[in-house]
Amino acid sequence: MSRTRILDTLRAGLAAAPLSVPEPPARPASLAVGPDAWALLAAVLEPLDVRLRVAKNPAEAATHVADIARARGAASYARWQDMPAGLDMDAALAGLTRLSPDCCQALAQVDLGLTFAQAALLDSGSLVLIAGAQRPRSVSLLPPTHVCLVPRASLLPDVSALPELLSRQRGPSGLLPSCLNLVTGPSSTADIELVLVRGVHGPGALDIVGLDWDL
Amino acid sequence: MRIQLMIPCLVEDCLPEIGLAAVSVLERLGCAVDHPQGQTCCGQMAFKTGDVAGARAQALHSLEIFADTGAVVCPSGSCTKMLRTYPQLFEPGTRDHARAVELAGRVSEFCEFVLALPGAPDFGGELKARAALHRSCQLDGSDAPQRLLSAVRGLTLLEPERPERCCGFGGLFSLQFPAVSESLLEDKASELLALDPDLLVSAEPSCLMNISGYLSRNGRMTGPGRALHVAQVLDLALNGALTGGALWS
Amino acid sequence: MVLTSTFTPRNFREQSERASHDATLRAVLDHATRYFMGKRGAALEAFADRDTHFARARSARLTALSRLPDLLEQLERSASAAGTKVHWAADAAEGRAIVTGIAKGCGAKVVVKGKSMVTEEIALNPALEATGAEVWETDLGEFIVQLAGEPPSHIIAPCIHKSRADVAALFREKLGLADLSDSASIPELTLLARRALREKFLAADLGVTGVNMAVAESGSVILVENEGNIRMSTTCPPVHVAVMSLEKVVATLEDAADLLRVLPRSATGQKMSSYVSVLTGPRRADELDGAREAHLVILDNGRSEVLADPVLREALLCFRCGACLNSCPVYQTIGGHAYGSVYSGPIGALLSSLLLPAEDTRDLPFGCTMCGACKKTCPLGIDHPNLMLRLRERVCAGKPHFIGAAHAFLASHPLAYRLAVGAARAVDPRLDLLPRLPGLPSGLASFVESRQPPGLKSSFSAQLRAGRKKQGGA
Repeated sequence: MSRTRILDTLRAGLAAAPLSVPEPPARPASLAVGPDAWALLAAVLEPLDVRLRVAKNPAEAATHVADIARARGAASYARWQDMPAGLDMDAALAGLTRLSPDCCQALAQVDLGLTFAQAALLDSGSLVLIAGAQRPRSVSLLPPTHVCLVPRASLLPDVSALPELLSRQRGPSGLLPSCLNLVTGPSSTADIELVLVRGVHGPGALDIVGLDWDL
Repeated sequence: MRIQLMIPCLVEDCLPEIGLAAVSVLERLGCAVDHPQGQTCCGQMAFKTGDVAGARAQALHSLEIFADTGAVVCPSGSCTKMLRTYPQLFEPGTRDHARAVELAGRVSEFCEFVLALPGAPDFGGELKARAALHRSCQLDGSDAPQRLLSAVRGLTLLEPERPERCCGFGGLFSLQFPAVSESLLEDKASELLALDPDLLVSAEPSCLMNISGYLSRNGRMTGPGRALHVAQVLDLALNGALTGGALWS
Repeated sequence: MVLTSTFTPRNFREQSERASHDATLRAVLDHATRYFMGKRGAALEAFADRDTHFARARSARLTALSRLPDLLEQLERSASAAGTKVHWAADAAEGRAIVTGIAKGCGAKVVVKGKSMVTEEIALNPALEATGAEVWETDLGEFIVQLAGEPPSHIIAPCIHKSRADVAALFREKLGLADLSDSASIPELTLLARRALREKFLAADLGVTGVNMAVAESGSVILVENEGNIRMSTTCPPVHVAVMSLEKVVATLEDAADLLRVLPRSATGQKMSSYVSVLTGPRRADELDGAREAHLVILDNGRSEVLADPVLREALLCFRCGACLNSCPVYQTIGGHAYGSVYSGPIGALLSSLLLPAEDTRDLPFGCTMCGACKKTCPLGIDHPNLMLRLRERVCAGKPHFIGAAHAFLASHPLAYRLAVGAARAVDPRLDLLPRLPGLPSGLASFVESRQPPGLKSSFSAQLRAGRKKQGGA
């Protein structure tokens, strides 16, 4: 059987020529997440053509989201069910048709997908989206515009924070969530003549609203 | 200081001027230069073509030639590197391995060696020229040539757009892949000539042969003496003359 | 530019020589390799503690190799616990059989694929098509070369050899867009591809992708991309198959994070690729999307044999950032197709030599000037030139190259050496006869044709002796 043969060959190889791994250097200290965190995030997002709008309170957040929808010309939206407490996004997007994110086919008709990030990484400008029952993965993927809310408490230095974040999300069986996506800027390609184009398969536009209060 | 000079086979028979300039510079800087007899090749050709047994035989020969203690100096990065590779050719724990390790520990590329001499890098040499340097990948990123040349008064050191890019020689590579080799060579030659230099300089004899032979064949080498080894530039700067004469004269 | 897929590693030398004469190809390669090197250089310049991050990344990969069999078993356990079905494939044929079996099992009519070298390696597409399914490459570059019937030419940018007009012509013909003008802009062309492929994603029964890393401790598969097509392929179709070459496993999420710090920066100069997916098992019962059925195929195809060689196994550290390709002067000159297999450039020459039949790959390790640009570029510290030498040794195995052998003989016999050089010096000091000597390879002839040989002069030893005698006498 292939499995046994493969494992046996690997074991024989390591027995014939043992491989010892030198102790790696310690991981360098991460960026500190301080009062300038929003500014750092905005700076790293800017070259990715992503605008960060920071809201001081739920009303401001609603205004930002409505502005984005208008600016992007969206007529319909779909969103994750569980949103940070105290935010009425349906009121903010009252002029748009809300569609249910039941399946990919449905979402393919939607102009704007609204999600929130379990974390955002200052080093790279990455949003950490963890899928779940109320949080379909395609909301951040199929619509041409993706809007993501980022709570202040979710700002983290870099990708080295991911293992711990994921571990905290383990279900009762100890399983990790089925899908975690790091989203860093819009969908992009430079496959034709190395000319950068946004929005090849995923959203061409990504807008982020920072929630600058304690949720 | 007494040193043993290791002369690459290419220099011994085709580019002796480089060796003579190296001797002149080293003596001028206070070294007593021995040239142990019976030198052939460092074994690089065999090693790089996969003939490890052949390389080992040549390494044993070199171990005999340079058995005396004291620094071994070689005006070629690739031959120096080969001598430093000798330990890899012998079983650890054997006498030959120990000798190879010992030799590898006291071999220096010419520029590195000169740079470590008292008074370096400014030995008071002067040469009014625009010199385009080919760094040569065979020097493993050493900046010794740049530092030595920068200290020569009156000399303007120029570096091509991609200073560390290979000139396309690669020993047997240039024979097995002649068109690819020539493409790389053309890239290198045109990047160097774009600097409008008086001199083409390198610390690697094989690169120098490759580049200047190409320019010479194509009539783009205006006048003899335009391609020089770093040792020759220092010889000119310190002694006012090319002890061994010019290349391509 | 139109390329056919008749390239083979066996004809590497001829293909390289021909490619180096192709001015259009060289211009494209020059543009592309400079573009990637420029982006990468800028990103690494700004990467604080870069060398420490590189060292940690290397350590993560070394750890994986040092515990490979145990980690693969652990991966199997944890992935199975998450509901992923794990398969083992000893070779390409078994890999194809497993995936086509899954395709038939789910009655797949439409298959969407994310960019994957390994599925290319096992020639999966023709096998899937033979089941009657439509198979779509969905990475834009891969889609374009698929429509053109050509192999990809670069790990990161598969269709760098195509101009926008080439792409417009192709879309006109293959996507039935009769009105499409040659002057269509690149964003327009991209949008057309988006529309065409969107339909396929929504209709797909099966998504097939490669794997950038698989995490032994959690059973997760990690996929890294910029376009979103891989997310589509794992999200929309009901079944997802991830095909993984066995060395891609890493021990922990920590190790994966260390690698993610380095991979995008080294590949494309991005701090992070647009999308990184960490998938653990199929969708859970309460989720609305994602594949309902997840498969992981662990492919060997010659790799396990490599682990016993302490030098060559370093090639298995590679995480396919492609930086060594862009930095290699030979690759910059000949491009990817000349290598004649899926993997090109320095790491490609190594991998192909290790994975393909020895008689087909004899020339690959010789297509290298030993300049070391690859080694210097590699974030994982792979010493490509040293591996090339090891392969050259293997190719020669007691039968060294003619020129090398003659030279080696002479060089270890000083007297014979001096006699040979002396004879040459007497007969042909300018080496004009050299290219015409019988039995010498044509390469030598063209070497001397394009370069004036320095000729044989009075030797250094003789001149030094004479000079010293004169000095002593004076």
